Amino acid sequence: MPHRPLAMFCSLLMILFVLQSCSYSIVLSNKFGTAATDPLNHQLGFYNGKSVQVIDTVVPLSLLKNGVMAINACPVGGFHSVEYKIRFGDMLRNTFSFGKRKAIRVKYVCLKNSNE
Amino acid sequence: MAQVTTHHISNWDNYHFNGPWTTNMLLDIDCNRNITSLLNRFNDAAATIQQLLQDAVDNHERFRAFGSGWSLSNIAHQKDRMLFNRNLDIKKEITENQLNPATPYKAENLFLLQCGANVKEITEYLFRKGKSLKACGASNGQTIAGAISTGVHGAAIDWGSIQDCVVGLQLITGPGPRDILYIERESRPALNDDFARSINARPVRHDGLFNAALVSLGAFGVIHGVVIEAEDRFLLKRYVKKIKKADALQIADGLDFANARFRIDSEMAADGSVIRPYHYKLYINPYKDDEDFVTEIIYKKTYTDNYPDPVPCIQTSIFKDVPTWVACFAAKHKRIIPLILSALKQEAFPTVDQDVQGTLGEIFWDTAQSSKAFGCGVGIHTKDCSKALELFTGLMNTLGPIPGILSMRFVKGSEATLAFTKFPVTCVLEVDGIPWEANANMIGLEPFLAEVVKTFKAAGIAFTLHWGKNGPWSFPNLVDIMYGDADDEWKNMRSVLLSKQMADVFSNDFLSMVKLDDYRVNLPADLAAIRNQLAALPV
Repeated sequence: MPHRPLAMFCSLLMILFVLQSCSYSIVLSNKFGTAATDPLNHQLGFYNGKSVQVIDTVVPLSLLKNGVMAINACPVGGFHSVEYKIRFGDMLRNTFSFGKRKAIRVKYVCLKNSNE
Repeated sequence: MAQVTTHHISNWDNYHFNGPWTTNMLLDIDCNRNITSLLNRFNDAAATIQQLLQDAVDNHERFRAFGSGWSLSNIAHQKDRMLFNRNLDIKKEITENQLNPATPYKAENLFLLQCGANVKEITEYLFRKGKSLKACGASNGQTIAGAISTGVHGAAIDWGSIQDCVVGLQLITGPGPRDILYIERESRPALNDDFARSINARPVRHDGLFNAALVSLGAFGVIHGVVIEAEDRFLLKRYVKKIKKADALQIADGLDFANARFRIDSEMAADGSVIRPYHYKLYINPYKDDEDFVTEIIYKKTYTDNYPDPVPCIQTSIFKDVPTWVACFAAKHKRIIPLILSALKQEAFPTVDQDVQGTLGEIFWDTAQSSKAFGCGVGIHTKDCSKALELFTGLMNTLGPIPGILSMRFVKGSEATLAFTKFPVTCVLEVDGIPWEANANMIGLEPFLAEVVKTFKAAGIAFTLHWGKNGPWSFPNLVDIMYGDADDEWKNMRSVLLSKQMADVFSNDFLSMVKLDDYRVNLPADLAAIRNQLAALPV
């Protein structure tokens, strides 16, 4: 069986590759308006200079009303952008808890409250 | 009073990560939104800025306002106190009864903007009023005060830069009750004294002062309010074509579109004459001499709301940053830079033959920034642009290669004393890319740009440098070389407007480096008379 370790290694790589592709994030950004600012937030990429809020939690289904979670955010103007992330572990948790425990991993930026 | 949050910080960096630089304090100011009248809210913010200035003076510290921090040099930096004004974004219409009797402007086209309003916000606000900015830069993140202070430009061949639509400035020159001024041109006044009084300012009408304060590099005080002239909203139709190098440069050398070999068939008048475009820009791969130029030509059209959304297309064609690791890799293996740039051409240049139509705000859309960036803009007379391009690409090939691409834009000249768009039509030769670490194998950015300055000077090519971009700013007598006597006039006007103490408060390292921070205590008689007139103005 000289090829067995190699086959197992390749299979493991394949599984890791598949699992990796199970984690992804998407940013939805409003065409209109500008983002709330944070002059201390220096990071390369989309969030540079923006005031970023993060929700990273696992909630029981009972906290959601018809699948909706109301949050106290962006009182004026609404969302500038929302990024949601799904990880492989989150899907496993959802599956093995029969949908009763859901992970919420969201980054959002509010629209800047403009003086008009 | 306006809300101010004080952050004690050790350093500050700009949006494009060209720093960091040492800074003690960042003051984040927001309007008092409990004040319902926008005018009162505006005046309240000005009063708060004056209090902050008083505190800076009392503590013998310098002070500088900044907005988006989009300048690529340390021009916006201050080692002591920096005022983040991005949330001061009041926008207001001007009414008929605020017009100066001698004004050439229509009230419907004039708007008062607070310093921190950025180009995107202004564009959207004006659109809701049926209006548009006349021009903007290639993107939309700069604040109005920052954009005019450094000369942000697009490629409006017959209009100019953002500062050229400004007709009035409210300047805060100190903490005292006499230190808020409203400045206009005497030759083209816009608003009356009642308007100036409504913003607690003393009116000053003087062409020299206005033109000097227009591109002020942040050194004339805090620009708190800006009155701009807008125009009816319009559409822009953008074509991207590949043009033979010789044909593209034939146009570039004189912008004579009527007699150009290249023309767009759909942009001909009924009588067969050539329609003059609004915008002309060339994208150039400096490492392929025989390659055709990707050319962006934009025509102004009457506004209609019946056009497809151009943003999805524009998003794919905006210059994208190249990952920083590419620059690190390229710095060690510089010979691969031309190959990298050729491979990334699809990313860096807009897609050819993809025509789109949209408003000014849609065509010059948000940029996506994923890496550090450098950019340098060299302004030259259009008669010199072919020669300058040859010299510049020659230096990129002999001293480099460096990881950047070239472009040429064309902008009508500005009346501002230190506008870098000082030629009748300025050809802006730009190099944009990713910063790299200089090493034994590869020249650094600043030494490279210093060689550009030396070469242009030796060739007798008059030039300027974009104030908001990278440059060899410590080059000896650079500003004198670029502006002749204009920098003296600028210093004189600054000395007329500011006290010696406040001139120092509003100075910074950049100003010292380019030798624009000296104060004229003994002004010539004519300027001393202006200073006396200003002092005599009632509060």
